[in-house]
Amino acid sequence: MRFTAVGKRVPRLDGPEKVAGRTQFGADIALPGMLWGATLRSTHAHARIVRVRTDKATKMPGVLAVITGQAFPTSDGEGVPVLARDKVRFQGEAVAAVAAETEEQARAAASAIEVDYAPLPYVADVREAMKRGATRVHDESEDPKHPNIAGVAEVKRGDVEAAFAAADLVFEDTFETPWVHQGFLEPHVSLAAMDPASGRLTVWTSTQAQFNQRADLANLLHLPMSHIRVIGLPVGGAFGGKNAVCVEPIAAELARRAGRPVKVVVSRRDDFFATRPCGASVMELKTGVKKDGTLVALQARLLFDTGGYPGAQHGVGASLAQGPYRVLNMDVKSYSVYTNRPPAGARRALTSPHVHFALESQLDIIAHALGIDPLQIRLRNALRKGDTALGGMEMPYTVAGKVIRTAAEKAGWQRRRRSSGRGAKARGFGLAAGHWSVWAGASSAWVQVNEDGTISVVTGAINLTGTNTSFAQIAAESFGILVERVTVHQGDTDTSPRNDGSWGSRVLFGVGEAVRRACEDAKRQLAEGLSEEMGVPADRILVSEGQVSVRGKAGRSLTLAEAASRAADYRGAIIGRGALSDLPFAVAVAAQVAEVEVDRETGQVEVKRLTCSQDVGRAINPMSVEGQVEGAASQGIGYGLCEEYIYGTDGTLLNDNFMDFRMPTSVDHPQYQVALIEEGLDGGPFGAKGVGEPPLVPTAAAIANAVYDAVGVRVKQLPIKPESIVRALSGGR
Amino acid sequence: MTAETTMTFRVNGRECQVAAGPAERLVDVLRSRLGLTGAKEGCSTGQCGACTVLLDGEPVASCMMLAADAEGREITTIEGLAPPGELHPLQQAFLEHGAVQCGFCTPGMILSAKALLDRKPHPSDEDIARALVGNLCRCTGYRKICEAIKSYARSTRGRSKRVRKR
Ligand code: FES
Ligand code: FES
Repeated sequence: MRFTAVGKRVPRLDGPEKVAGRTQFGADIALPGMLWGATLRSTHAHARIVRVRTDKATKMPGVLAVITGQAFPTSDGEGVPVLARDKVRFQGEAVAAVAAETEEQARAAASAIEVDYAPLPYVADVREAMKRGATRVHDESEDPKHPNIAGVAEVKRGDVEAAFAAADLVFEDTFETPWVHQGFLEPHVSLAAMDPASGRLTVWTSTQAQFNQRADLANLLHLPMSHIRVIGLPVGGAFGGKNAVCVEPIAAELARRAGRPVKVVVSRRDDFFATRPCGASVMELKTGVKKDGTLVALQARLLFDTGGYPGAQHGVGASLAQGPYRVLNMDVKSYSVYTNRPPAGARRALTSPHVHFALESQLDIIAHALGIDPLQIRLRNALRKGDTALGGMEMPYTVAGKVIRTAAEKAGWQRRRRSSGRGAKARGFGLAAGHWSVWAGASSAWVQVNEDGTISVVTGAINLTGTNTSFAQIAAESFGILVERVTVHQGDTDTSPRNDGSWGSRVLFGVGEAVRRACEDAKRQLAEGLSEEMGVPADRILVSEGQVSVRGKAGRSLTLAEAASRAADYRGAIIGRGALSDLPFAVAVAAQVAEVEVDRETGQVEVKRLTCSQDVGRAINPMSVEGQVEGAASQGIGYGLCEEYIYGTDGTLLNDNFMDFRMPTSVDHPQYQVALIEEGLDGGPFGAKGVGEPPLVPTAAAIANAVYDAVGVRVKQLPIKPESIVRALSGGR
Repeated sequence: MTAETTMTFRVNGRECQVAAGPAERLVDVLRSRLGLTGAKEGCSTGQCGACTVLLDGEPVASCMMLAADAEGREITTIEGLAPPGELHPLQQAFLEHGAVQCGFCTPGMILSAKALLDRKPHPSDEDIARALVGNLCRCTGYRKICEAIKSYARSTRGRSKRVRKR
């Protein structure tokens, strides 16, 4: 199939404002009469709230409203209280909030609120939390033996016992990953205003999910959804960290009480320790193999730290536990475990990077033990058409092997030269793969054909990764017009059709398909509107290449502009509608080869080259797909080598800033090579599927495997720290 | 409340007088008093570079600087790189190379790059990487940013040669 708009490297449509510095992010907006909100946060990791005294704060200059836990009797959709009620379960949990005339006054008043805490012992580690008699994070837990289990998921398949008995070798390893922040540069920010006459609330916020915000706000503030308008703003990075409600309900409740608009800007420090970072994990794997490397059995116990409140880590972790491989016998138990840490949120591909760090490291261990090339062991086991994947779903096609082979070929895997010879620096290569399942969810779009033949697309999907640009390409392709003839508008909850959040790599796949279907619907309406005038049944009228013509009859064609203005006269506005939730899961496989240099003396690891291959179905906009791959892989380098939350013995976060929580900078980026596999086998628009998350999945494991290749040190705990390498090389462990 | 005094700066080529308190940060004067919201605040502690502006041509973190210390000096913000409705070719290069994703780091990133290119019109890869080390970007992985800067530098090389030939 030849495309005219799809597959082109189109610069982001919102790019001109962004490079000009004119994009209005949340912190840039001010309303007349606006107040500032500030929160008081817990200094304890775990404590009972004995008393909260707000009288002093209430009387301070400029203060117009003060709220505590009583303001929100219900918790948010994920079970997290907006303001702590009976006890605090992590350091940084919000306890009270204030609105005042200036930001300084608000902060001063917040810190004048007095809270009497009765400190409780706290639990900070999932293994500790799983022990009998562990400190209870939630008093009302039902399981007396394991009071901190927040959720369990199981995958059972085949006969694991028999498969282990028949295996030639069995490997048992435990892997650990740390707490990390998503690292978005724009801190959380929200602005709320309530119209005193109508009681209607408007919330402007940096969020990935405006409709979910509306649902949560309706619930928390006891308002009908029709009384709430959420306006999703341009988002300065999110990566899963802006899925859930954060300060929106606080701004809204303060605005309601003060009768004036309220803005809350979260400080960087608060964003580090008090919003929803990515949780730690401990993963125990037991894997049985044949001598030829065939995987025959996998038993796994996965513990995901969900922090003080429930999360969805366990389910996703379990469903991805086999990796992109065929494993006929499985027994996986996956837990979300409460600890006195912040509530764990999502981070690019949720727990997939955790799980694949473990799986892909162990697969490398197995390959080396059996003397098999790490590439060959992966190809031998790669998922094929008809294999059971993802909790029972059948793989609809074979592409995993191709993705893995492509990464290896492009990286020169067969010709690779390990140079662990003399000198301080050793080079090594590491291969890893991973997968993610893309679910379309509730996706919808409207497409209007304007009287001049231009197209206006409206969706309620938050444009994070440049999906609006891809929508313009999809619409241009559908009508056969230039991309410049299409505008895409991100509507708000009042002005656009409902959409799930921009998460799970679903937007291009699901909403993109809704846009395509809305275009088809609009074309059908055009044909129906013109059928009488053109004297043929609607199904003989063809809309393509910017023209409306009659099938099989040359010469009788209208331009899109002529057709649109006439059809609008006959039947009113031409507005196509696309709404769906019926697309099957699309499995997206990514594979990467990391080439690293390890300094034996200092233990420093430098990623020199990272070759990434990925099954994207169809690259609607290859430039933006590459941007997603490189950006995600860069996060993977941070996850692999330097990012981690460090806590003190009192349970407080020590590195709550960008100096001490180190993320990759411009001097840390490797040479990237990106190969996109475009087979177009799923139900997304023109065969496209989700892109943004899979490329983070294999990176940390590829680096760990490369470190092993370079210096023979196997690190099973992220991040891979120089001191662990030096210690191992000097004989200690 | 501490008394406000009138301070004078040259901002984007124009002289500005602003009433501000002695403890007021440059970023606040620019964003709140002058409405130049192109400088973003990502950390408030000088660690992310989103608030970068040029002070007499050198990049500074405007969150770490008192407005009073910038008195009488020349400040360039992202808004001053090109006339309204136009883009500086460096901005254009960022756009065309996909060096912009969320756009939050972008103003600071472009200004750091501008300072480098003014000092050294044809920087090496290492020069570029070093010049941007104070500007975090979480979206792009940096490669496309470096490519945008290189391509801009290449284009000016061609231009200056042509000029010389004539
Ligand atoms: S806001 Fe100034 S350096 Fe981050
Ligand atoms: S483009 Fe988002 S931080 Fe750089």
